[in-house]
Amino acid sequence: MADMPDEAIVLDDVSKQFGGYQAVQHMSLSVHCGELFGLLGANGAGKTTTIKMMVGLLRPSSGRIRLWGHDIVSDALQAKSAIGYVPDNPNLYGKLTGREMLSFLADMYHVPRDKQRSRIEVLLETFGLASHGNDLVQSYSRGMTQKLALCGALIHEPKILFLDEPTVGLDPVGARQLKDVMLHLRNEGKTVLLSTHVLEVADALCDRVGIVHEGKLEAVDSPQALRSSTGDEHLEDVFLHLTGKERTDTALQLIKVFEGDGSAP
Amino acid sequence: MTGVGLQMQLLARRGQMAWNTMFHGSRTKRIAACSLIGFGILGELAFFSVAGFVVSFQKLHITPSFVAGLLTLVTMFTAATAITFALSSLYFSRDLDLLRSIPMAAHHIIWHRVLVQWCVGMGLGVVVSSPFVLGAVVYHRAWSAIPILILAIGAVVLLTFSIMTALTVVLLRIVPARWVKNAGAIVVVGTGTVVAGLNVVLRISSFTGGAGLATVSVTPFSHTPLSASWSPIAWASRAIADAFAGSVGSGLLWLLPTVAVSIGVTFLCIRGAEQVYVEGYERNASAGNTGSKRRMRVNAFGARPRIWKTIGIKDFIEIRRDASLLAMLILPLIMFGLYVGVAAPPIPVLHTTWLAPLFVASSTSLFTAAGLALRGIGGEGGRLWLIKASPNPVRSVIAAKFVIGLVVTAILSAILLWVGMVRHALTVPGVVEATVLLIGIISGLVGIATGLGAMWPRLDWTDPRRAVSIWLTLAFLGIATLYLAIAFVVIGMPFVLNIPLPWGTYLAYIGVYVWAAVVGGSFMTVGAARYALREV
Repeated sequence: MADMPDEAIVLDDVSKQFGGYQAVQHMSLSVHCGELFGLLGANGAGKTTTIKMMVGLLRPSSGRIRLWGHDIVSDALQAKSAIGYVPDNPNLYGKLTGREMLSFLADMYHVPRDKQRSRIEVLLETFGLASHGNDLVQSYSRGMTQKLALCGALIHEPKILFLDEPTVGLDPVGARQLKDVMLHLRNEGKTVLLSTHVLEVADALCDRVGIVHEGKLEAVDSPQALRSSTGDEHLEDVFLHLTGKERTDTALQLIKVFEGDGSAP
Repeated sequence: MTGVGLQMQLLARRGQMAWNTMFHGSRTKRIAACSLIGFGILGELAFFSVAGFVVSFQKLHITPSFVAGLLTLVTMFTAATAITFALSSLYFSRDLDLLRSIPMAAHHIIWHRVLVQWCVGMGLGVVVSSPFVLGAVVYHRAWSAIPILILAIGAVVLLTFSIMTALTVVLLRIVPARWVKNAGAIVVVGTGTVVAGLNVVLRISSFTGGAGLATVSVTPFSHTPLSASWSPIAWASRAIADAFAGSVGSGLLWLLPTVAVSIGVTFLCIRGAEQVYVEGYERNASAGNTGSKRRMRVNAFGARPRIWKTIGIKDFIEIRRDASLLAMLILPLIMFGLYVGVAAPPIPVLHTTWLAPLFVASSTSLFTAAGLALRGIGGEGGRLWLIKASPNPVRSVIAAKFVIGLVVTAILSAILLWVGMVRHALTVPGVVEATVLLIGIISGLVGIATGLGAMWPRLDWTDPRRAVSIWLTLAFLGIATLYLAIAFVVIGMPFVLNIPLPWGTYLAYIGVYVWAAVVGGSFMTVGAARYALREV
């Protein structure tokens, strides 16, 4: 790759504000080319907002984001050409068939016509959707939709793949396939950034993880390094240590309140 | 909590949501909402003065048959809208799973939906009709008629809503599960066709001087079965007419059975439909999971991937496979087709045979554009991320929406134009002239629709027919009507000024195309700018 940049993803002091609410605060991050990076955080921590800014669906209130050397705001088309994206709840065109959906996305990402058919078939076969390729997407289950969205994100062979909660809705087989695909992509030199709640996935797959808490990037390092730096044995303990301990206490207090007045179901 | 208390609670929450939609959020939004209301009130006052003048000028006699005609018109309109509302609110609304999961009987849900529709319908009715009504009240000095009028119309509207809601619920229980999603569309098209057909037929039988749009009458339904003496419409008409004539007591006597029947029938319909609704809802929910095998269509998007073509064909496939969207496009065509199928005399002063069909075809395109181009971006809904995340310039996306809107609208309207011209003295030059003008007019209209739709798309829908808010649709209809009116003034000017042919026609062409480019282009430019900034 002659035009390979130093870093695949660069966030430089990125913030996002919705009205008076600061969803992401001064986030700076570099993801290396060929790295599998995990973004960890509780619900509402700012993971999805961060990913949406990276893929150009939200505009940063301040700061810059560069993907494969291209600014996502000022050079959006080049930046978007380099990426594939699967949201946490992919909403696809229900009235298209699986194959039509992939063909549509292939056109949208300017995949040459002569390569489309073979890529579509390989992807459908890989994710076990080949026999459902001519069914309307509205008839797909949640997991099948997730897999089809992943096929769509890979159709143009992106350099960077963004996956927002990719294992949600997948059965164990699908989840395993996804993990294999992510590792395969990483081994091929692609960059993968995923957000997840499943800490085992991050622990097992990611080269590095970033822990997001209330819109701030609290820590970035490899899972092993994070464990040793905090002295915790498991990544879950590291995560709670950095983000959620007080919330656990609150939850325990709440349980005590319910038990106290007999309101617990 | 009693049933009445529960309904009040639900209505209050609905009102709160409407309030939040308008006023909750940024200061700019609140200022915009207040400005809109202010302009609305000013518009109503201006309209009132004009309408009051017109009513008094015509020395309108408010007879029972006159009122019956208007009420029948209201009833038919209500019947058609009630079906789509029942479908959306009882089967596709996002909050249904929540409502059905809380301990509340299903008939309360139906009651709630009927009452919401009744409140919205009455509110819109008050906004639209109050200038005329107040004009008539002032002219007849019949202030006591106002409460009787409101109650009588409210009773008739409630009766129509409840009957049509019950019919829709029963229909969706009867049809095979795989047709459930399409059945509503078929009913809507059927009802619209019947309403338009009845209108035309009754006009032909009522008037000897031709029919269709060229014949203007304010009482087209004054002698229909719906306004016969056994009908609550007739009772309501007598109540209103008597009240306007000063006989408030007599008006009240006619009002009482109207209200009683309305409430009674509503109770019967809703309670009777409860179990059927529960079963139909479950069938509808499961029908969404059935799929159908389709022939592989990898090449459906053409030999060379061009973005506007790719998006356009995707939209076309979606519409073709969704009966409810197809119905939105076909219905205006059928309704206006019935009108133009009936011969109307040409307007002699302009020496053209195509002006009337051109007017009808352009008016139809108003509704087709509202159903297609206006919902171009909004129609993407939660799928807009697919397009926004792709590496394509904004202008390609907006162009795609414009092209698909223009092509479909132009084809449908041109068919109507040519049908209309066949019914008149048809000449080849006339057809060409009118078609070229029609395409010019429509391009501006579709430009307005595409631009407005890109400015304020509604992306959180679950039913594709709700991809555009009612307010945006009304705004578009208002703006587009003004655009059409000016376009026809532009077309008519060379003829009125006696500019000789063919120069008059050429001037009309230039005028219309410049007008379309300026207006449509402006809306699309602003729409594209807003779309570029939209976050999903």
